[in-house]
Amino acid sequence: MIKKEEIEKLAELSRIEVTPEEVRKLSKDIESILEYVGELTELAVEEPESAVGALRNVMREDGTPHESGVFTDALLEAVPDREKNYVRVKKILE
Amino acid sequence: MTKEFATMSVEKMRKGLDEGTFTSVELTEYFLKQSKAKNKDINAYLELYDDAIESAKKADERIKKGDVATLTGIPIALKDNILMTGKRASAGSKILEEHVATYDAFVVEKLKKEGAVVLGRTNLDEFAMGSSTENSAFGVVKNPHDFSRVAGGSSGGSAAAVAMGGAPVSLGSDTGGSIREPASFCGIVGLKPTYGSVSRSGLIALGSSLDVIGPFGKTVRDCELVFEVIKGKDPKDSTTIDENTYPKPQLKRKMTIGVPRDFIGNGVSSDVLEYFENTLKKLKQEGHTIKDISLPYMKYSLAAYYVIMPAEASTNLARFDGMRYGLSSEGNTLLEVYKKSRAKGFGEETRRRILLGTYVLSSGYYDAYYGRATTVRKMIADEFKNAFKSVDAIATPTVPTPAFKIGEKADPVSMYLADIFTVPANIAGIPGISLPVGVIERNKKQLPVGVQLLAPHSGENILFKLGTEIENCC
Repeated sequence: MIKKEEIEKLAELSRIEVTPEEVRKLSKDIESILEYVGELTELAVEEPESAVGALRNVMREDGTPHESGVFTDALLEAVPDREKNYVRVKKILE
Repeated sequence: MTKEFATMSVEKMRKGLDEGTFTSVELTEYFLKQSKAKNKDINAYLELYDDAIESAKKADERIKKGDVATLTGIPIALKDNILMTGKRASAGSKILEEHVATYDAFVVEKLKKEGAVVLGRTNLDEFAMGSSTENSAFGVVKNPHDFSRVAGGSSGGSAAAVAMGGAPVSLGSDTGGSIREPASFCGIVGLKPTYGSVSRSGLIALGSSLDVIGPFGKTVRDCELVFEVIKGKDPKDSTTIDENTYPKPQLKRKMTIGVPRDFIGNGVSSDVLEYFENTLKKLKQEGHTIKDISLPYMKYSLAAYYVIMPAEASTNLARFDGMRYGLSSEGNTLLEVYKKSRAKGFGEETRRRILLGTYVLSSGYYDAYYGRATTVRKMIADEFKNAFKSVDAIATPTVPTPAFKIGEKADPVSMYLADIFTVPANIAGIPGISLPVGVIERNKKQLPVGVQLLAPHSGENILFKLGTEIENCC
């Protein structure tokens, strides 16, 4: 049984506000999904040696980044609360 | 002439354009007109681009000069989770309803370089989470064959756009079946390429180890042509592969197709099964061998998927926080802004999956769920690898049933079961194609049925060959 406190904790961790009605529904839904995926725990498993895809090294050498400021305006265009070249947010420190 | 555009293949369009029989502007105007007319009922497109005519004009100039590539002047529709500079990309969500893309996806760069003409952005389940587009914040996509039924999802808009004659080809994305399932429901071809063969740069991420962009078309050949354009190694996506990453499977004249009988059975409609058996008969007639195989772990793919995908989604969607882009709600504190923005901007299924993902990744549950699911994932991938030692391809129905009615699958798990045959390919990273093999009658409407073929990594060549034979057979 997924208790409502667990759902509230998950909502807190995921930074999503939930109403009591939503908690009730989510509790029921997540419970039934967990029941379905629980069949994985019934399987006898042996950790396979191999990886799922082809393992290969994709690291590259450090390179020079693009010229400073090239994308700034385009990106800041979307900011909900902008002040010059800053993104304004609520204060973090009390 | 324009009436022929409806059934014209990409190759015939290429020929017509290059020989000057018609222009890209004529093609584009035709498909824009069709799309506008049909979209009122079907809701496949979220936005049609009037400036597509400008791209068509530029393409016509290139064609006159003889500077042509495969898709120069060919119209195409894009799923709205693929970024195109200056155009909105909503991912089917309120949280990105007004978001404008600031860069091109790798596939869009490729399309632009070819001179393809992007007609518009298509509807999808929110953040690609769904199998019906009922989770779109902008309304469901109706199935062109029966408006009371779903077009499938999550790439329902891209599938319906082609099926309704609104685009000759389109792009979707497939994380658990989101190209193949709507292709099956809408009666067209849909290809899920090998994981890594098409770059995810500029694709709004759902499950980074599962997502891949792929084409829809009326024929296998149309899908093949688009795949050849969009595939390729991309320095911005380090999971991309090239021709040397996997040994390319051999194309034999006579191939062996494996059928996992123990997996196909319960829940598959008898008429869907009938079409599936017919398709196997066609392959036999073409000289191939059908072999029953046993894949005992395959049936755990869906459970593994519904642990891994929500986990990855919960991480990928953490960036939508009302700070730098997207919907931002008022709040007294930073935490409140986060919580209210996300509560307001995310739909029910999205919130459900984020919470589920958070649960399976949280301390105390991580090993039991996420750890276990990734182990089972490896076991399934190994099982496929072994199977492909004795068969060249694997066949299943694409979906157990034809398109279901809008509102029919109210319970989340019953919706998830629509992906039972498609999910294994994403778990293992192998390519899969859905082929339309016929129609069955339900409530006096003719509903399409699809068959799925799977191949080893980088085995798209096998899918195209067998797919074309099924298309042309008998």
